[in-house]
Amino acid sequence: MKDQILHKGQKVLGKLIRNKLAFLGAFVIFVLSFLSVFAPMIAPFNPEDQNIEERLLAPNSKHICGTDELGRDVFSRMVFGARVSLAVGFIAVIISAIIGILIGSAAGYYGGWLDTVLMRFVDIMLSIPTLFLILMLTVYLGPNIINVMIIIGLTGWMDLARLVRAEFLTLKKREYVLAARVSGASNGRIIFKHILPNALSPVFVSVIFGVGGAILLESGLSFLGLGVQPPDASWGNILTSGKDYIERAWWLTVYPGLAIFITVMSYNILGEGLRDALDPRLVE
Amino acid sequence: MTKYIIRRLLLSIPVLFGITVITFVIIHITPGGPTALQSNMNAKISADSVAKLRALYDLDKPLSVQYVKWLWRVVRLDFGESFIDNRQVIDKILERIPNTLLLTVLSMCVIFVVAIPIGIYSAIKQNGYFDKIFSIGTFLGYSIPTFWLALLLMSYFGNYLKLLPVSGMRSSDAESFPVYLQIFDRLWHLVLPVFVSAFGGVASISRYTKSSMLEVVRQDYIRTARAKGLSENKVIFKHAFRNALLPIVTILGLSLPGLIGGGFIFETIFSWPGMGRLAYESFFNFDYTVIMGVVIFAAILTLIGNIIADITYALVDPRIRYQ
Repeated sequence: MKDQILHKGQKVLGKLIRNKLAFLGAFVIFVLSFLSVFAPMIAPFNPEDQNIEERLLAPNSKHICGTDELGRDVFSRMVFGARVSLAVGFIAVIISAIIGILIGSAAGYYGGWLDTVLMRFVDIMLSIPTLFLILMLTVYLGPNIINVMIIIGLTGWMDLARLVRAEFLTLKKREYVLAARVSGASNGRIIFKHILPNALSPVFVSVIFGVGGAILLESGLSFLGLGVQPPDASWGNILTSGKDYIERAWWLTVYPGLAIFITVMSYNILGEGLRDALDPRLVE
Repeated sequence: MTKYIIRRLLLSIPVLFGITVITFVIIHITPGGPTALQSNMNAKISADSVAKLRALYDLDKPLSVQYVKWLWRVVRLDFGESFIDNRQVIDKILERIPNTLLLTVLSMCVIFVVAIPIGIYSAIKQNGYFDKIFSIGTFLGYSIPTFWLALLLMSYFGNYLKLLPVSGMRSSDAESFPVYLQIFDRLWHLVLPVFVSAFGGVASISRYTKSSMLEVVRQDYIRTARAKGLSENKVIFKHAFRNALLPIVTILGLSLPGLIGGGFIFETIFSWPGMGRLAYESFFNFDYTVIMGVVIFAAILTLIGNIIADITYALVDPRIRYQ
């Protein structure tokens, strides 16, 4: 069994590496992760150091992405912003994944009234526009990095719950589940040890897409002032000042925007590549 | 059909009920309840506002009583008064709703008109040049931060070319214009907001159209249609497209919360006086009663949109009606 899984893993990895685009996406994500982990060593300046004499400087050899309205180095702020964006994306998605998996597997496995109640709950959550739900939660919890992670996580699990439920509905009828039950396995054991591992590949794909979505959402919220608050740098809130100086300082708008764009695209490309690699229907 | 509509309406009552429960829970679950607003600007919330909130939510009564009393007011669309100008929240929302609807419905039309032909064409010519460009295009469309796109377009078309207006709904001197110019002026102000808010939708709906078309084209009845010698146009548009349209109707309905929620960002960027901008202003003015009202209203709008989508679905697909 273990060998089989290992073999499958190698096959998927092999396919992923052969998919040049997906490989590129993974590479970009790796570089970004590296940048954000070692941000203090990579950033040439302290991202919060203001310098009145060097305000709104265009990109030059000293400040490769220019400076902002307070004379702070934009490149350094972006490196630290990468930290925020990746962390928010990652942790928000983990929160969503835990909630989505728990609710989806309970609904799919137990069925009956529990399924009805949980899926109704999903319908209700989906019918409140996410951004308004987020706004309401932000009003009461307050905008800061930790709360942004929690709030995006709490409002983004519904699709995953539906996906996991659908997987459970088909998987729970398999013979190995019956075999496990006959041999006296508890419900919890069947759910987590027998069914869930087999439902993980679509979950994994959806999680990768989810990270991109969460980064996009965080940047939008921070841009509007509802997310990461200054002086903490995030790609979204650099754009906020970019908006005010767009005619005089294009670099404040172009670079952080490109950073968001490329990061989200890398996650989407990787997700797409993973989906193709994991899809059993596409096996030659 | 009437029976189906009635059943569909009845089904949405529990959802509506659930929306009020969730809103209520969010208000009360936070430490200290609705008057302990933990936002870092809460120093500004006055004792007067706290007293008002206290009265509005009947905070001295048990939770169940609070909920029933609050629900009864919500049912009568009584959301209390705004903290800022003491006007009824419902009035403030109602005057913004037409603007939000205008933006949302127009974006929806643009999505429909642009995305479906693109999706069909790239499905017919699968793996051709158009299809390849299409795949790259949808990828970019999915990944681009739309508020950033809005900023770029604003600065290029608005500030650089001075071609399109970048904020508001009409020119400041529009009232002196003749009627046809006023209409034109309004449409001119809609170009950028509608383009940006439809952008993401076009990417996803055209993708759905493509995969839905590819699915349908493989069916036996398409082979039959071809075999009996129908022209390719007839096969595609009469037989394939009609069936491919069904899932798209549902997806369009599902994309409604995204559009209304997205309005929150775009209305703010383009200073469009809709419901989203109202919520945004209220957030920074600590006007909590207005925010609650807008959230519930946005959810109701979404719910209505979904009902319309389902009914449309039943209209085009008789199989649904008789389930």
